[in-house]
Amino acid sequence: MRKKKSSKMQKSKGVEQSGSLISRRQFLKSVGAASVGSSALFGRTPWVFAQSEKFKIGGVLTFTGSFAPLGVGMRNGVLLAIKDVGGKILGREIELMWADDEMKTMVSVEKTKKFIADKANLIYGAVSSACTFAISDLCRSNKVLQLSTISTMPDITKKGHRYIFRTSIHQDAENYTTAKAVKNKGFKSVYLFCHDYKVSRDAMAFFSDFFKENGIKVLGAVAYPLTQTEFSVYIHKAMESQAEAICILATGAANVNFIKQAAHFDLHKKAFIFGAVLLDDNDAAALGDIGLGMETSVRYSWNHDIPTNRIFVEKFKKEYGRVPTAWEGEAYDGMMWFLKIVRQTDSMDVEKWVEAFEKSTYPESIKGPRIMRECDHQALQSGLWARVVKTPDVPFHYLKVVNSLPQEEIFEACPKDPKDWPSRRT
Amino acid sequence: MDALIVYGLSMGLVLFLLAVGLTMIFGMLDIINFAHGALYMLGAYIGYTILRIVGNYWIALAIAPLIVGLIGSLMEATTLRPLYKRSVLYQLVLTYGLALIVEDVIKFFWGTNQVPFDTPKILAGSLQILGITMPIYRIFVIIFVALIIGGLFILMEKTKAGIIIRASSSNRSMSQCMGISVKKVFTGTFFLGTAMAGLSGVISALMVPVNPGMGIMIIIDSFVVVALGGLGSLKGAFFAALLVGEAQAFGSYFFPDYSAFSIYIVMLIVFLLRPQGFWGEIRIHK
Repeated sequence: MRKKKSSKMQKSKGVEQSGSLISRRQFLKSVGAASVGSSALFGRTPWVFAQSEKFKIGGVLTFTGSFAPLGVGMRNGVLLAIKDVGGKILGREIELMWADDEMKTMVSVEKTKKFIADKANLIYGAVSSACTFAISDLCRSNKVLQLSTISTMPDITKKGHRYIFRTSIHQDAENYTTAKAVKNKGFKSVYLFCHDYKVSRDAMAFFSDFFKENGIKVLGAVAYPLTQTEFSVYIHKAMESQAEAICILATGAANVNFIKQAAHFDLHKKAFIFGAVLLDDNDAAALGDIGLGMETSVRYSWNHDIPTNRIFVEKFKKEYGRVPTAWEGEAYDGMMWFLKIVRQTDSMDVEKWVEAFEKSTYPESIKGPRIMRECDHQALQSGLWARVVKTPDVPFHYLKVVNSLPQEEIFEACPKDPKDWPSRRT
Repeated sequence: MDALIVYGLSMGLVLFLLAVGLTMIFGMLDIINFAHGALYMLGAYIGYTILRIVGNYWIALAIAPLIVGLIGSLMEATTLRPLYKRSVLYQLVLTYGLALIVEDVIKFFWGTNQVPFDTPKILAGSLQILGITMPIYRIFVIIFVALIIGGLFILMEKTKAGIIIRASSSNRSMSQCMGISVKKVFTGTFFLGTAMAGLSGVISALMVPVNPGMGIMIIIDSFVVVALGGLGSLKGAFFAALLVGEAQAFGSYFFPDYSAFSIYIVMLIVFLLRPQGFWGEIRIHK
């Protein structure tokens, strides 16, 4: 009976080889012997074989639809960062895996699951805040580090966890930047527009209160759907109100859509148009003369005149033949920061990365010296305020940084008690 | 109130321009062309390139639709023609695939960033008409679309070509017996429908961002107009576009935060009362 059981066990544990059965131990021994033998033959150690494993980065971005330029731009930035480090980290070749989330939360979750199953060491993304938020829990439960360099929803870090880091600015900080920058512009009335989704509506509530507190009359406020392409009636309402300023808190190509139609009404000549993330450089170039004088907060600018940025912009121009967009710059910056942390830890242990990243500073940043906050894994940065200009030295209309606000003025302080820190959620 | 009616009219006519090619192809060829939005976008991009080369918007407006029409007719002759006798599902899948190909071709040649498309000086700015601020561009759209509608009406109702198109559409085999090359008629109709998509792309490029997402943004509105009007009915599409335009204008003014609903409320009411749309027929597929 005992003999029978033991032979059964042997069978179940065995590996079939040319019709005969060998035990797992025998199999491992022979594999070990073969690898030592081949190491001796080719002068390599088994450790080298372990090191030849790849360092996998799974990028879950948007590559189709109207937000595709953001995803493609982020990929450009990451590719340049990987090129900068020679395509390797800790002796491992960096393998980039990309997936299009189509800006749908369900798709982003599915693609992230696949990357985690493929043993991704880092999940990079997503573009939209909703997708970033959706994949965040997945990264948390699987203890995979997630890097966000674009999504603006404050809750991504305010309600974050141990494994998520954001190296870009969030909407609240951009709102503070905008509010402080326009406070003394001299307009007495304003009309507000935003997109009908949470981040945008929160921004509208913030500005509504801010303007009222500062004696600026809010003559109207409209939240339009993300799919809106026709704005003539909204523009008519704003003109009817005779507001001296128009504050647009929507994002993406919709702002260009609005401004193009507003220009047909000459609204840009009658009111000062501004907003938090109103435009990026590509938008400014696409709008041409009608955008001149409009002002916006910017997350990163190629013309922010600091040495680290000058070097990066030259490098980027050499690679892509043009100046970088905000998304490209931020992607590069965030990825370089993360890779620096991995190098510093000299380890593949995600826990060591987290500990090093959350206490890190990044003096080489293209945005100027930066600090990662331990409390919420939100990187600090200066608030940049820019105006659409056309200058003889640049062949297109662009956003020129005209004001820079200190980081302590635009970010809220961390909770005092570390127990309340989102980064302590595991 | 007057202003809202005028804005609604201009919005409706822009919608009609977007939907006319789609409804024409469906009405004559029984094909739901999912590539319509992509061809509209292609029109805008080709217009942009012509504008950069010659620096004249009107030349771009004249040439880009012809190029899109040629591309459309080539698509019809090479890919759709073999599928006419098959189930409508084949055509849906094919045109959807063609839309993806056109989008990728655009990304390949023009990149993913939006491109500048300046309004010509003659169309810039606005006029005060009876106390209403009216953009010159919108006035141009109203006049231009009115001319298009007139032209299409004359083509379809008053010319021999129109009679041939209608005959081929209503009875293919009989038309063939009469010596009409139905294949050529269908290719010609596809040319016209896709050229209209290209035309609306060049016109809309002055009011919407020209980027690889612009086709998706209009396709739903276009289908709403086509369905409301009655599948394939030009007359129906015209009235549906006006109704949707006015609903959008009044909805945006009185319920700005819920303006998107106004279109769908109109749709709901129309489909409850007339499931086939304004001028559509109830088709029973056996």
